[in-house]
Amino acid sequence: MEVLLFGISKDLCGERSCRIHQEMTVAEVKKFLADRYPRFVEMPDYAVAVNERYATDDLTVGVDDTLAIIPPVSGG
Amino acid sequence: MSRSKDIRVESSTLSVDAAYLSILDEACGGNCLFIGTARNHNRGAEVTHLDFETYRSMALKEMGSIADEAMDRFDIRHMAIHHREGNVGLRDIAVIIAVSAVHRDAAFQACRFGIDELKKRVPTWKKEHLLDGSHWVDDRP
Repeated sequence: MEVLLFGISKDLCGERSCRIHQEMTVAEVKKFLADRYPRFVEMPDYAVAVNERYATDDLTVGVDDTLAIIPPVSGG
Repeated sequence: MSRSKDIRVESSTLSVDAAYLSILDEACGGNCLFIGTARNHNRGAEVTHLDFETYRSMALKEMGSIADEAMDRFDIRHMAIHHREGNVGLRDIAVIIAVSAVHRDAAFQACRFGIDELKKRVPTWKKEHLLDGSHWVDDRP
């Protein structure tokens, strides 16, 4: 799957995106990112979107899906 | 009865005229526009400019959903939601919500609903540039 990083998550991880080559749940992706990027633990509360829809931790994400880390939004 | 929505994420200056024209309808007597601009201060610090990062494809979908929901909830005809991305200077427009309805009450309510929902769920992030650095804005007033 492709993982997109925006806002503060992009700064903390030091890149805009990364790839994960296996299927896993949203919760497992969060743990994967925390293990891969030491500063990911500094993230404020954040949401996750899978294929451009907000998703919950139990959703399974396939290898062809796109997952986005959504830090607290601040539009407008 | 025609209804429409006009959803945009723009990397150049937003036009109030464009938003207004997109909602004008001779059947509508109430037109309401909310215009959000970049201000020069936040929490006691002097702001020099803003930078908006957007998850563009999802932002367009969420903005479209907000317009659809507004049309279900309120008796309105047209809704425009335009948001900037990139570098936004002081007094520049960051967002426009424009709504037309037969009567004003529905237009006011839908306009308020539009900006409130946008601030809750549209994936856009504002970086504030201050005199002595910059930071992502993570609150939701």
